[in-house]
Amino acid sequence: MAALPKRIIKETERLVSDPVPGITAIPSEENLRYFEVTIEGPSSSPYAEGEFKLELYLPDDYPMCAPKVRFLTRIYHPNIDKLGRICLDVLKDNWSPALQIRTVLLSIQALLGAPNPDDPLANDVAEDWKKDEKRAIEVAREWTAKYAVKS
Amino acid sequence: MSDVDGGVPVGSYSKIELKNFSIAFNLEDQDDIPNIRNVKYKSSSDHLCCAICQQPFIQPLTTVCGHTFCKECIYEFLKVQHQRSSRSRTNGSDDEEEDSGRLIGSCPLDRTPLDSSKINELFPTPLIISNLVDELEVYCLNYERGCEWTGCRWELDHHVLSDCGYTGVACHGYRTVDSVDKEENEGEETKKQTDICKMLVERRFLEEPRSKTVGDGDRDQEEYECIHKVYECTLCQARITKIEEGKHLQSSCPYNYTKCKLCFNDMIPMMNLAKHEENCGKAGHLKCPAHEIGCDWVGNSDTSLEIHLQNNNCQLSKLLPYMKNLNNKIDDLSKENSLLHRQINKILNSIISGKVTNLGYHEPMEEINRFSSELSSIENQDKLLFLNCELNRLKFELDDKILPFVNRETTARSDRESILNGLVNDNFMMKDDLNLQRALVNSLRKQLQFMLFKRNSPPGLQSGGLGGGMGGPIRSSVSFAEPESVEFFDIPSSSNSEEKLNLKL
Ligand SMILES: [Zn+2]
Ligand SMILES: [Zn+2]
Ligand SMILES: [Zn+2]
Ligand SMILES: [Zn+2]
Ligand SMILES: [Zn+2]
Ligand SMILES: [Zn+2]
Ligand SMILES: [Zn+2]
Repeated sequence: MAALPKRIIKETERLVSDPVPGITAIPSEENLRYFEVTIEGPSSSPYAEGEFKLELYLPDDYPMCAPKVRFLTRIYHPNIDKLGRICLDVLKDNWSPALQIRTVLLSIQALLGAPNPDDPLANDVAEDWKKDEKRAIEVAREWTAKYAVKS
Repeated sequence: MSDVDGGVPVGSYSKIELKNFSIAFNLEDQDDIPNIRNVKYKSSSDHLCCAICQQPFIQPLTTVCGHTFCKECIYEFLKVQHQRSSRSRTNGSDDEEEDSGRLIGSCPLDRTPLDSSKINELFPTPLIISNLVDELEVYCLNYERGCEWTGCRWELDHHVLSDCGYTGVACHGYRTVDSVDKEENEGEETKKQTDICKMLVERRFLEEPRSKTVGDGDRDQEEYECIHKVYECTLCQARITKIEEGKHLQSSCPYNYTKCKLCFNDMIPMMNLAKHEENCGKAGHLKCPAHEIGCDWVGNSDTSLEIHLQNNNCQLSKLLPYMKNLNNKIDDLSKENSLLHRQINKILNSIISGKVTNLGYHEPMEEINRFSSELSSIENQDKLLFLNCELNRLKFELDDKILPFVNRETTARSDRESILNGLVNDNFMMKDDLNLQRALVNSLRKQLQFMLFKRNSPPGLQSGGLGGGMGGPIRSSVSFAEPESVEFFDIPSSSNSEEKLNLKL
């Protein structure tokens, strides 16, 4: 496994040299496995105009196991809980070592554009979402304006 | 030069440590092998990269769904998947398949189920792929220490293990220590004691042990004096070790004189030569651009150089482009020749070591050995010898033509012109010769391919000619029907080994 950090170096270089639009990922100086991430909300979603901060950590057995990702900015979303944990298949059982940091972040951005209340993590949010979607979207928009202000 | 400068006293041992860069290779143990995962690639293609480690494949395996990964990578992932799935069904009845080494998981790219124990689900990649990655150009693992070697990845092991002067090895020299300096053991005479130096040092600093026939142990010890021993430079009395000597003489010894080729001043310290030559050039001392091929004209100004180059005064400078061209071509050919040589040897090695038999080859070992010795000894050896001779002949021819010409520099101009024309013609002829050689190399390549095919066909078919031989045993009837249309790439995977050998070439 000694070589796998080489993959991390390669991925980091590419994230910096060829960034994904609307997403930034900056490795921490002390720990190259820890990234500070920002994701812009997709324009057609209640999260539009918001800039969400996340943290991403590559565990020792990455890429055999998925990176650990968590929202730091509060967000009203049926698949993201109060602690910022994300319910996304590729971060759990559907992880594949052929996926990369950038594909994971793109999946998260896509999840913001397409909430899935039938596969919930934050149960109360998902319940609200199913009961009254219009209202839930309204709340999501309010939270975005309140917490996810672009710095 | 007293102790004031704080230097290490003469006769003691310096503690120069080997610089250890992240990937540099040290041969501390006979069993140390270079880690190819550390290697830096000079060129590579995304198609040859493993989706898991994102590096060019190492020992690639291909899946039933057609994806290729490093053996280490895919096994690691299958293991993780296997552990995860067996953990999730621990409450169920224990399966017998535990610890059988069988791993069950799925392809990282398309989740096709994979069972590592089934050879048709996870199998060695066709040799063409592994050869392509083995032939990627890499830097030496010791490039940070200054090794400038580059070459094919498969040559790297040999290079760092036995050739590379920058590989770290143990000094192994004997250090002579006065026993008086050591803890005083009573009754010990003033006899000197010896210790073995165990410091790592770049191999290029180790001298070849001077061969002495004496089997006496004490003598042997003296032959391997530790190279960390500090002594005085014979020119400037600076304290140096064998390790620093070269660098010292080159760049810091003030009394290591050399002669400037432009102004013939022979009191230029080596360390100042580059600067001096630059100044010499500015002061109007110039060499003819053709000095590489023998013009020893030296002048004082640009105008005199112009005059030298004009009016056909310097015939050699006109030959310069031709010479360079020819030299390049000769170099290319010798490289190609030696590459072919090594490839043949590599194939033979893999045949002999049974690597190929593991991939479905079905002839007995004796047969293979017989074939390989036949192959190496007869035709191909001859062909290679012939190619080598041809190369040498060309080199001699060049020398023959050029040297007398240089000597005749002083003869009449018309004379020179006719020689020049002759030379130009010769150059064309040599070009043709070189092309001929290239054709020979190609035909050698084809012959080898053919022989490797022929080897695999049953003896009855061998006399059946090219088409039958190439089709292999399984599809021989088809091949007989349309022998011309049989392509190497069309051979079904059941005759894997043939395909691999052919594509290798
Ligand atoms: Zn696949
Ligand atoms: Zn790999
Ligand atoms: Zn080297
Ligand atoms: Zn030593
Ligand atoms: Zn000196
Ligand atoms: Zn000079
Ligand atoms: Zn000249």
